[in-house]
Amino acid sequence: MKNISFYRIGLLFKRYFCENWKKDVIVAAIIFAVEMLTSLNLGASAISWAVLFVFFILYSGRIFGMLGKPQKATNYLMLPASNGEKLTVNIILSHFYYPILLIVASCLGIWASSFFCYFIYGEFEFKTINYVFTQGWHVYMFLLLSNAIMMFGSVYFRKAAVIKTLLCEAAFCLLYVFVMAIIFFKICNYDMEVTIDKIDESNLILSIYMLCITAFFWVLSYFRLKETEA
Amino acid sequence: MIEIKDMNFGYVPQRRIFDNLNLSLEAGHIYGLLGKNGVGKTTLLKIISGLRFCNSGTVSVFGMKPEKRNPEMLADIYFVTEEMDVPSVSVRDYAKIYAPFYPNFSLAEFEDYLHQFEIVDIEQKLTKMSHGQKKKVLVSFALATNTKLLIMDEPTNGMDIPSKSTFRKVVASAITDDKAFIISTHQVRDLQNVIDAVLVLDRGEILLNADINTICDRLTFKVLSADEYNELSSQGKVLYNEDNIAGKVAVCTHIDDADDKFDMELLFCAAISARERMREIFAENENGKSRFASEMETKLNN
Repeated sequence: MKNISFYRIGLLFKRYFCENWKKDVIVAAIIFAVEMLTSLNLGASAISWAVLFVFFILYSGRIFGMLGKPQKATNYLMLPASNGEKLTVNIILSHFYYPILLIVASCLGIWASSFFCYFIYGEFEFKTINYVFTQGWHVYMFLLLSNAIMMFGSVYFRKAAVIKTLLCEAAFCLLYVFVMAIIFFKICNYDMEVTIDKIDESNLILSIYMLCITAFFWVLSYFRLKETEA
Repeated sequence: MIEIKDMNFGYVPQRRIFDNLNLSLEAGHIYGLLGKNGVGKTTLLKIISGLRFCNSGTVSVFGMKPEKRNPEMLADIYFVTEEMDVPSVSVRDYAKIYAPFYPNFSLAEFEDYLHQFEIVDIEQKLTKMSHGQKKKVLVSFALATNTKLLIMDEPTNGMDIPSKSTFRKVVASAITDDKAFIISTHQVRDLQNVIDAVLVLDRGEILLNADINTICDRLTFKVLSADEYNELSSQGKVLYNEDNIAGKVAVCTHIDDADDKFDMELLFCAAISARERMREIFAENENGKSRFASEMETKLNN
């Protein structure tokens, strides 16, 4: 039997959707309704990128939440599928499926309000979706990285995984800023302006860098899942 | 089917639960795993199924390491846990979702077992069912997966009296030569008639691993009068006894022509209270015979 089987990946997806489709539809419906109603009143999207981002990280931060409960962990780990297959399914769900579901629901809500305006006021104004398509593709890289870190947190921590992961991230960021500050101010002789310019110009490098860290967290999650006991 | 050699395990290194545990289980048997509370029955089952990893030693299930959680191995193991967590889906949907993971699953058998357990409404959600009903559904599903190894931890907990009888019936009908069932239980009387081999776990080791025929060949379970008890006791044949209305019920070394009835609860008590004698009786020599059996044979030959 192969270690990665598309058949078993399909079964894992089927299992997820059969058990969770109602929850996902409810969240998407709420996003759709809020976007539509607020766009009618305000003329623009009310749910910002940051709000959706909170939804994404909450979802990713609980994607392996079943491992924190002994009975659920037993059922999940005993499912006849490899760790690689289980991780693949959860990466696709948390990194792609859920963000796309909520972004689509949000866009549909905004567009629906445009059509309502057309029927009510007789003029069609295609409302802009101001947060997703305008901010460049490195935003997606950042989203992938955040989801990968949150997913690793969910497989690593047994309880309150979301909060613990966020605390770890905050601590890491502080340390990172501190180290970078030392590099900029001590090593680069206060040459901040040049360095920032270089960073702004190297969005591609930054995106590749984020993608590499994302992959790093996927691999960490794989080994952590492999070593998880129930 | 299952080979465990010199296995050590402890949740903390200083306090070992299993100390050089050795165990060999074969297909075609329904094993009853008995032990006191906290002795590590569930932990042993988890190690066998790959949910826990031993600290040292080797564990092999179908020739594979369970800690690898190979999908091929997992497709041939089903674990019914004592406490259950079920998804919010109907019985029918549960089978639709989980059955494809198990290549030998039989829908006809599943429906038959459900029918025998009197689970009629398969559209009912599992989360709306009582503990006993959930257990019946999961036991039915577990048996219908036709996995080579079926592990059940306290399967009759929460079942009503008729269901326990049904459980014995369906389990006995489901065992085949290529399967092994391991049932961990404290409800020995519920399962006495279905178990055909006994494992007693005590103080980190397997104290007894024998099938019922071997046990009955080497031990006698008997109600003794006061005179009989005194006589056998003076010969050192009584391993364990307790008082009841009819006299003393005792576990003795084998008595020829005794009209006895196997009693798993007494066996367990005897194993725990007379550890060394039990070990002596069931220890096998290089000919595959116990020291006790060899001595008996020598006496008879002389």
